[in-house]
Amino acid sequence: MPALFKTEKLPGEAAGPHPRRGLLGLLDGRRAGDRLGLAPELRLGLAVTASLAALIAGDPLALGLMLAASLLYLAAQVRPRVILAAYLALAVLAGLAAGCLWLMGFVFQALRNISLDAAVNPFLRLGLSVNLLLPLALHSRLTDLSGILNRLRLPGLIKLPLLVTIRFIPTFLNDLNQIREAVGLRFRGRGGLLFWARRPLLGWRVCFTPLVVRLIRSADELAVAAELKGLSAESDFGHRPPRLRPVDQAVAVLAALTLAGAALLEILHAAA
Amino acid sequence: MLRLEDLHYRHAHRPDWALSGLNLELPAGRALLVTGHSGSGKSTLLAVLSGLVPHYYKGELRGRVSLDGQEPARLSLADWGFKAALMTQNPEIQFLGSTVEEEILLTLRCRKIPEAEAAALAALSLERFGLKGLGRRSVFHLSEGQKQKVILAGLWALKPRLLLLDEPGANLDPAAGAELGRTLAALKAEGLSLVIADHRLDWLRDLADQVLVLRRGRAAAQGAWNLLEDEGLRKDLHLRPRPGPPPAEKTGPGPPEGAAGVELENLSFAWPGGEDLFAGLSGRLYCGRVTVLSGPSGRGKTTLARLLCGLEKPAAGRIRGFGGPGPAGGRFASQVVLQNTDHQLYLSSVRAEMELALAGGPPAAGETAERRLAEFGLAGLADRHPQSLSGGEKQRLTVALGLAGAPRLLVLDEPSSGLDGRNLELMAAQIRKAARKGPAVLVITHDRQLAALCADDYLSLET
Repeated sequence: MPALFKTEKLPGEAAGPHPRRGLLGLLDGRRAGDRLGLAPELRLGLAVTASLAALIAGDPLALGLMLAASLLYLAAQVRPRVILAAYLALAVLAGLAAGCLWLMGFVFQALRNISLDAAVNPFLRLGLSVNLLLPLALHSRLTDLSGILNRLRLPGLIKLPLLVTIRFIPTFLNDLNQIREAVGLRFRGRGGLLFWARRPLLGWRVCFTPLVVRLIRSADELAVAAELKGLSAESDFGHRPPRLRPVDQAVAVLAALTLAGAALLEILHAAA
Repeated sequence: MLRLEDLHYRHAHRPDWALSGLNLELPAGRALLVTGHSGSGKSTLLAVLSGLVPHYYKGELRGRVSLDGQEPARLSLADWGFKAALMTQNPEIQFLGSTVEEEILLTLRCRKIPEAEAAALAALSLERFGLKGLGRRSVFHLSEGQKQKVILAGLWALKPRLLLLDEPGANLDPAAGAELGRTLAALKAEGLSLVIADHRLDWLRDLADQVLVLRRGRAAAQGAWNLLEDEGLRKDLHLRPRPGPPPAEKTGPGPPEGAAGVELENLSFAWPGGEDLFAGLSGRLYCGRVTVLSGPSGRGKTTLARLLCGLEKPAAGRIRGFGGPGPAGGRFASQVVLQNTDHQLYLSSVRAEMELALAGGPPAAGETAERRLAEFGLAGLADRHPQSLSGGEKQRLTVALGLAGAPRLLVLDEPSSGLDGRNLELMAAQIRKAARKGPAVLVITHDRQLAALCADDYLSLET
């Protein structure tokens, strides 16, 4: 009888575990997709500034301009596949929100007559946040962010949850990936989309039950790990002084121009 | 000296004691093995020793725990962490840093060790644990054994008196387990006390000076290693049996004429930008037989499973199954049971999960969810929420669900990592029974005891 397996070549230990694909691929090394390698101070500054601007802006054109510019910023730092996945999630959220709004319209008449601005703006703001927070979360080291937050003298009540949340993102993406694969494997061959269309409640459960369970468990495990590590509001990982390279300066200038453009659109909108 | 005096602990809102009447003395530089059936209280004991009880987990704690005269309840968790350091079962969850060097530095900086001192200690620690060349490597790119070393290196740099390890052998291949054993022996020789909770016992034979076997939170047996030489005691206390010699690569008696299985032809695979994980891999999985696949971590066992299920595509070669095209083409009916059970359970009861799984398979006369659950010892749990089951119970349930759809190929990835002796035997028996009904079964495992109990064919991705 021939051997069940024969191989011509199997490499040694050096091969190590495989680099992760999809969302998790981004978290490996320093770091796939990050072509700009921007200073963490700039990333954090842009995220905070744009979030504030998004809160103030009420003109869909101004928000649209910031969204378009931030999408370019995102595309320069994150793989297209990940952007697609993030926007897919955003689309699902938008769909759910629109559905809820439609249902609530039967109860609250006022919700049937909302303006286009009011309907579109929340999603523009959400997209803007995703575009700016994703590179920050995926490409920032905990030590860098801790250093910046210490310099800003933020209270531990804000700093600690922020640090743990950033640490939580890889774990969450890992869970998301594994749930997607597990669901695909368990239910394949059952009729694909038609199967889920006939059983929307089952589809809802299958997606969200393991996600919620893992979120709770992972959060608990991470909290225990942080406690054991001694991570506390007083933890100070030190910091290096910021070094803004030409690429950082160029991005900062482009961001300022975008904000100026958005402000102009906002003024014109208000005047009209 | 670690001392437990009449230790009792009861979780908040639970009527029963999780730990009851434990007494122990462990001198410096000695190692204690804590074992017992699933749910016997091993991890709870580590939570008490690490200070998580009472600082993080509440409940009722009675008796006394002390290390060199100091008690965890009288110190902050951060201060106790300098004395007793815990490595959890999943080291990845303990990582805060993104590279090996950063992770060790963060462990020290979290404890407020000044930057210059932390850098010097981290360098020393990297050298001590043979990680010097890996300082800039992403922690996500390490093998399981390396991840454990990184955690140990960070903890060692804190100079604790007691090191606590929760199931350190569960995810290691035999070579990595042996290496961890050597590392721990060296730490013990430096005067560090060790408490190791594990189901897998025999890699600790030369390391453990004392053994504590728990049964429902009580000390069922306590003494030197030789008490584990008694096979009767192992069986009574649901411990794992002693492993036999390492199985040689073998093919059992030939399959019946014409039993078409899965055929791999010159399969090659490489991750993007990486070298070949394997090349020219050829072989067969036969219907009605259990094939156990083992080999060191990182050699492509799980990747092979992913190829078989169509989650990845080979760089070259092809997979043919049951006389048809492979997973990329026809997707022959396969089921895969992955390592993390939390991701694979969705409904509100164990019974509902089984009914859903049975609905996906061909109709079979007299087949009921209850009957299927009973086969896996889960009949009494039919109304429980699947996510409320213990780790071992969830593992059995996911395997039972995988089999319920009557797949032609069943792939099980490390189905026994958290199982005690009794559940290991139950799992092995069910895998064999399932294979006899017709499917080709591939079990990926480091667990030599599971392999010995269920393998018809044993393969190693080693050479």
